[in-house]
Amino acid sequence: MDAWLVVVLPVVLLLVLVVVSYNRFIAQLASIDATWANIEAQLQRRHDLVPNLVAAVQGYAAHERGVLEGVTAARARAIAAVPPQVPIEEQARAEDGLTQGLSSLLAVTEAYPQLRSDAVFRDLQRQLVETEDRIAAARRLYNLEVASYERRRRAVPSNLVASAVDLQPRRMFEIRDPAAAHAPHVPR
Amino acid sequence: MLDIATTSGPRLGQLLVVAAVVLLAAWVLREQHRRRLRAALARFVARQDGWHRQAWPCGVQPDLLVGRFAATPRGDRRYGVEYAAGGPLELQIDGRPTTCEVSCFQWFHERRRRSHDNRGVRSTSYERRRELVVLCRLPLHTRRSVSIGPESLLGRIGLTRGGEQLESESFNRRFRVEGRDRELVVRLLDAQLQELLVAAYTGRSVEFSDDLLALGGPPDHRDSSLAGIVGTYPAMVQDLARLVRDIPHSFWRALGSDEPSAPPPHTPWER
Repeated sequence: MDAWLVVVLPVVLLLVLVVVSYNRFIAQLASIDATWANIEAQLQRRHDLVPNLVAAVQGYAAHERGVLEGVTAARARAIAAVPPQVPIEEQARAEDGLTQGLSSLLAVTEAYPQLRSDAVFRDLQRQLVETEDRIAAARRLYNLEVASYERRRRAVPSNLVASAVDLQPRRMFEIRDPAAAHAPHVPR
Repeated sequence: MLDIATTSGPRLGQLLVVAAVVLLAAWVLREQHRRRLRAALARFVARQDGWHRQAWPCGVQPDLLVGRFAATPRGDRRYGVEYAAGGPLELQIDGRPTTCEVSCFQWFHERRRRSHDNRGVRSTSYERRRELVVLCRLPLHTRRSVSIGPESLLGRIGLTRGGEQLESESFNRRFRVEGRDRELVVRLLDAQLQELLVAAYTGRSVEFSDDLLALGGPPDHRDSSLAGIVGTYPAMVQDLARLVRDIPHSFWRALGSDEPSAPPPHTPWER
């Protein structure tokens, strides 16, 4: 009876550890997916804001056609670049393009004091900054989740479980910080 | 028997006299120390424009502070506020100068200590512990509290690390971050603030609760012209101002967007 226990107990213990480790991986993957969904929702919100922002600027600065078309094109590229059709890095570059376009657009508005005092434009700019703050926070949360998952996927002994069930690596989402680019400048 | 009584009588009397002298000396020394602290507090208050001594830091009763922050624990018996001084202070919030109510004080609480003597007789005593706190009433509400405190010894070596883990490993080793809203936590703790906390606030606690910000723990420098704990108050005020100045704009914007909007006019319950 005792010899039987000596053999079975370690096996049961090992099995429990494997199950716990696997379940933790599953929880981490679910968390990564949830934080990614949050990024996508915030990016979508930014895409939706762009036409209104362009329309508001057009009312005061219609002759800045080049900048306005640039932003519209960058938005179209960002909307088209959605994983899994494109790699995550390509989506990040498309979003960087939109951030750059929006920076140019907001730089142009500096020359139009009437536009900057327009209530609709100010509200859109506030919404843009708020959305970009959320994108920045969501991106950091996603990257923290990915970093934690990758650490476990590579570390001993959880890497044995990861390789046994063939858990794939996850990529970080690295984009320029749009919140820093578009927030109203205040000295720090 | 009579001999013992006659010899123990004078000895007991001498012992009582010695005990009384010791107690009196201790009381005199304690009173002198208190008087020195009160004088130092008066000098500190006179230096700060609009500041005064307070019974309730930032107008908050000690009963509402107890257990709310890591620096204001309940203890096992008595607790309270000592040597509190406060008043208006100009802080850089979201890049703009903003006048806030600030208060420096010492929080005391008593911890129970049980001991057994050789005969197994139990005795209970209370040890008075003290924490230095600077409290600030912010113009915005943090509806979900955020607490940043020193990491435990096991956490520092990576065995029982809890709370939110951030990008900086040196920050994670030194601080334990608790907050219900993870988004608010990452907005607060950007790379620059993580670096500042590691460099200048290790071992101290920073907590947001409603519209209060509490910075607990002793600073690393003091004003030698002010006696006792009051000598640390100028440094505590400086540390608070530096901390608030370095809080990211994104955090303040998150609090600003959380502000409750006015109810729509003519809501049914108003009719």
